[in-house]
Amino acid sequence: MSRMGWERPEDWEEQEQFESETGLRGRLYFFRLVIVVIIGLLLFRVIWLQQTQGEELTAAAGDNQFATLQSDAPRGVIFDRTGLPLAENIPSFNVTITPAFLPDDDAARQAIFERLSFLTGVPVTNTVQQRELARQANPYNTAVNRQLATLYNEPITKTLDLAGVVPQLPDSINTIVDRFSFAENLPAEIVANVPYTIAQVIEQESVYMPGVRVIPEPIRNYPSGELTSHIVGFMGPLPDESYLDQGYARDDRVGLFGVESSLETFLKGVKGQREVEVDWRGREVRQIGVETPPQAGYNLHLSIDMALQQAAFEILQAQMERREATRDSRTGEFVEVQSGAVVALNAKTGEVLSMVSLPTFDNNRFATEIPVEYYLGLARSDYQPLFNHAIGGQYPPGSVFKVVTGAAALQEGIVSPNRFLDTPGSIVIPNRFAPNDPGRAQQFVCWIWNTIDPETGQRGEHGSMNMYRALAESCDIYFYKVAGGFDQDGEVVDVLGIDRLSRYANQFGMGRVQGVELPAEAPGNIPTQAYKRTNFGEPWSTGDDYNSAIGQGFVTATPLQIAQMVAVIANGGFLYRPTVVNHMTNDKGEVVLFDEANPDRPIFASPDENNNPVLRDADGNIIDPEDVNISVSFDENGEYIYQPEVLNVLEVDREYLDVIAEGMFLVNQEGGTGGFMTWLDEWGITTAGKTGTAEFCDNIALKRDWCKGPGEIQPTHAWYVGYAPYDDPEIVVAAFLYHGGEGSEWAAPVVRDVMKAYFQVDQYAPVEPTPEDSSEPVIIPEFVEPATDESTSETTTP
Amino acid sequence: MNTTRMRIGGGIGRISGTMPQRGRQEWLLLLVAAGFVLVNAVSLTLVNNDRLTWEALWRIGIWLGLLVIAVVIVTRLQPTHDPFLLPVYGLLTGWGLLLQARLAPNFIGRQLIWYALGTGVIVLLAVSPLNLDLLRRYRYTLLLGGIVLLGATLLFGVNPSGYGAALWLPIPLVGSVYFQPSELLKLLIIIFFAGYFADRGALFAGRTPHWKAIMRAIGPLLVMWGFCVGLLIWQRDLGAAAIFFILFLSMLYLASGNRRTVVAGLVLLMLFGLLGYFLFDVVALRVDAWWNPWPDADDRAYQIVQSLYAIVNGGVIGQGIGQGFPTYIPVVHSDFAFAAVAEEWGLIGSMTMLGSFVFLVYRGMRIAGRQRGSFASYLAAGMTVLLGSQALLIMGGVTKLLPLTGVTVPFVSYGGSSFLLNSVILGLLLYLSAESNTTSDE
Repeated sequence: MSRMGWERPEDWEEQEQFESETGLRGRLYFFRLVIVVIIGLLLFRVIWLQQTQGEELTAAAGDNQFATLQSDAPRGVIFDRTGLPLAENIPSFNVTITPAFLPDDDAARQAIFERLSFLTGVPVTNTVQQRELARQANPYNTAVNRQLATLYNEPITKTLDLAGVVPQLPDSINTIVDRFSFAENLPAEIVANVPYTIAQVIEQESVYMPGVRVIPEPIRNYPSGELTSHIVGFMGPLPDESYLDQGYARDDRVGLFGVESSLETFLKGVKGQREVEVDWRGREVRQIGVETPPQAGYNLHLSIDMALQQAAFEILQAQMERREATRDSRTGEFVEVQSGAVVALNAKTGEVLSMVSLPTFDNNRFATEIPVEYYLGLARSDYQPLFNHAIGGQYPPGSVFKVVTGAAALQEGIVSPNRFLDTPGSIVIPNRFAPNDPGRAQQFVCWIWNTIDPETGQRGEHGSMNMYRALAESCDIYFYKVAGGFDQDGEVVDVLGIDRLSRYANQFGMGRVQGVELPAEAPGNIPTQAYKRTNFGEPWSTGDDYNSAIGQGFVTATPLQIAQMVAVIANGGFLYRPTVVNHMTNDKGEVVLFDEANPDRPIFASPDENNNPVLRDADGNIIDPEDVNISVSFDENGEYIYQPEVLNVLEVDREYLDVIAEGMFLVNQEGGTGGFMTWLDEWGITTAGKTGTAEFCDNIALKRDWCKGPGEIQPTHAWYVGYAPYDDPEIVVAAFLYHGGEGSEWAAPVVRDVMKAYFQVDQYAPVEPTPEDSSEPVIIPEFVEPATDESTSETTTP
Repeated sequence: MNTTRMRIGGGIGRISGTMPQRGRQEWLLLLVAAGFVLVNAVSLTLVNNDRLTWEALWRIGIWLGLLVIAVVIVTRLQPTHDPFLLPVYGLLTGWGLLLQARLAPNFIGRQLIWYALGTGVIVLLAVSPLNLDLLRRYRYTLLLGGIVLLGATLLFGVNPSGYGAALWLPIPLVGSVYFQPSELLKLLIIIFFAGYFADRGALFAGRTPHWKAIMRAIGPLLVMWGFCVGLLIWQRDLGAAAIFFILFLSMLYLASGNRRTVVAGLVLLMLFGLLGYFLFDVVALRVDAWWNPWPDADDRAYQIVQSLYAIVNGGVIGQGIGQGFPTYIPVVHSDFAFAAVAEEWGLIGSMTMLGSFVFLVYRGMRIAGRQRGSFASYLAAGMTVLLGSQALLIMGGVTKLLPLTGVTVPFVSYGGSSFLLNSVILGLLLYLSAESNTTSDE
């Protein structure tokens, strides 16, 4: 090492001239010095860091050692009006591995992975799985892709792109553990929602599998499933990033449909929070301050009556099946009936007692994930199972709309209730500009015109009708005349006109969103003269008045609106806001109310011993009822009494409403369109209603080539809307069968059966308490069984 | 072997030390390096697997084998080469392989290949008859070629890791091998500087030249250099830009001895730094993270904060290989290798590594000082400055002494292009050391 250091003097002699001149050598020495100094500085820095900075660094990093942990709030439970759970939280057993607690020994680790793999079915490594997936990735080989291709009507290879389906590698235990090893003290989820039995086995064996834990996490369960899926809805992962700003965590789930979605803010509750100190590896050291406990979401008590809902669902489904199995009475052909709806309302409050929309889907399939195949299958069906047709389907109402036309015509003095109008099978409007050219005149016919006597070959006609009979027999000509006016052969009827008609229709709840607590409520369409001008560039004509009068042409409405329309008649002129929620309660069972002046501050009401309401604020302090603008009351059982909200009062005199009601009463009597069958009279319940058979030609009909030319038999929806009892209305029921044919034939029986279910008569009569229902044990089982069999076979026949 | 030697003037040299003495020194040092690496390799295997496996050690065997072969060949063909360079190279590369095995086992195979290639390059350069004159003559062509390659990264550049600055060019025909033109450019600009100053050395001879004279003298050089730095700044390759600054200033000083120019250059550097701080958010980010990393310790300053933790954890003797937690530092195997050294080998390890670089620089400067011709002298000095400044920048960055710049620890960090470049430097230094010594034989 003697060569290091400064050069010996004799080395200097070796240097050349230029070096001594420029002083290069000296500068090179200087450079060595500089670099030694700099690197010495570095060394000093390391020494300084290691020897003196340890504690200071830890202190400087102190700010980063606190973490806020959030605890999820239990989501509100959804009940029906009788207290049956429709959406509840059940534990999902998630198998997790905390990488830090795994044994260090590789063999022991693998043994745990293999045991866990055996129990859960998750592969240890995914090499085999990868091969399997590669095989599956050939789109021609997989059933899913073929189905998707059929749905999209596209070539298979294109389908994957369209659906946005990326074949994902099934995660293996090894990859999951690897991926989460950066946070080795946090449990990484291996598989979610394992069956309880397996969860138990894993929990028992976890003593021998350090690091493995089963963590129960609540997921949503919908006991009523497809019966209420359109009302209750379902939950899913956050649809977009904007939810993160609203306090959701990335792995939270949020309501996406039904009341789960529309009332998400009430159901979700408030997350709990606690500050913890963590060490540098992310382990919790201690808690700081007081934990804010999570605040449970409010429970929803729906107005739905589950027994009625199930009955309505089964009645409608059976009727649709029966309809498809029966030849059409007019065309003699089988028809496709795949969609329908039933809405049952409390006539006096606007509460929805039952709301069925078919086809439906099983919202339980969306509990842990949204299965792509199932979802796309639903989303791509023409009949839209994911769509609530009862509130979102806009269909021509047909003759049920005559209720509105009749009420408007009476109030506006177009006709008096007892004035008889001439009602032949058809009338002709001469062309306004060529009144004498019969070729350009328009013929308007009554439905009865198409019924031809097989013996005489004569077409049918109603002859002469007043308001009562016109409603009862659903005379089209009568309503043409009162809506569009008539002036032929000495008979003069004034024009009601669409603009006046539409004003009344709006008061009946049509052509507007009424504010039910469900997403995607449709307004329907009630035209005006301006509507046709703006949308079609043509002037309104008398023919348009005629069509609108009988709920055709531009008029569309949802099944809910049709039910609401009759509810207005039944309750004497009030349009109540339709609701599916009777009330909300907090986790103490107190009813949650909101003062409109202070919508952010909930008020909690509970009955005292005399069933008088006691109001409290969020901190439990009693509030003087005088201070808030809330009306709340409890019945003698301490049950909350729903307070309906009036949207508007119908501007039709009570005497005219009674005329319409009586006309609807006559519908179900001998000679009325609904009178051919027996209603509920034998149980002492009188009924009233209106049939509707609405011609349509929409996209589904066009696609299936159902639409026919003028003069031929058009495809029709079947409608019926009725209420009972006639003298003191309790329930309004509307039934709708898409492409169902005659309303009187196919929709009316649905309404009748739903009414039977509501009044618990006939096959819906409550089963008499048999002796074995009491505390005594069953005496002779052999005797009981055939008896119940008999009763069920009886009930299913009608 | 003396055929193509550059020669400016005659002279009488001396053999410093006798041949067997030099050989013994070299082998002794080599033994120390090999011992260090082997002991650590064995303990790493024991820490990881609880037993000795051939699998864990065969790479170290290859490393040692190649090193021994290199020393034998160089000693045989260039008996007068500097005896300290190869042992230090051996220590650093062996340490680097250990670090890859410890921190990024996936990369060790590649690093071994780079090591083999690098050793081959060193031996080849050290023993082959080089004509340095060619480099000197075609310095503009070479530099322009380098600039074109660098420019090409603007168009075709990629980043093999999939994110970050796209500073690499894929090498055609060889799958997934990438090459970083800025590394090559560093060497080319040294050649350029050396050639330029060697040709114009006289202009700088005067003690106090006029300002205009200086500008006239270094004008073309400034243009070329400015072009390179411009490209690098455009690419946000701050490390390379900083090294270019250092190279420029140090070589200017070496060639001219004019302190005023150097001071002016330093002032300029500060100005550029300020400008960069306000113009480029990359610069601002790095400087902010350096000045006070704590507010952003979870995010952008995460690397540096974790690096400080690692260094602090090291203590005097370190945690021992495989027993610290340096993997908390992102990309520790490349830029932050020194932090891992400080954690697992402690102060002693850091001192050893720093000492190795001091020693390399010291020997490099000595070689530069012993060159006959000014070109060779400038070349050696420039290359030595490059080696030293790389080590300085990254080690200073990792210890929060300087803002972080993405350069590698020579021979230690993972990174093919820089490994090859540093091998070329070492090979040339070896060649030059032998050259200067053998010349004196004549």
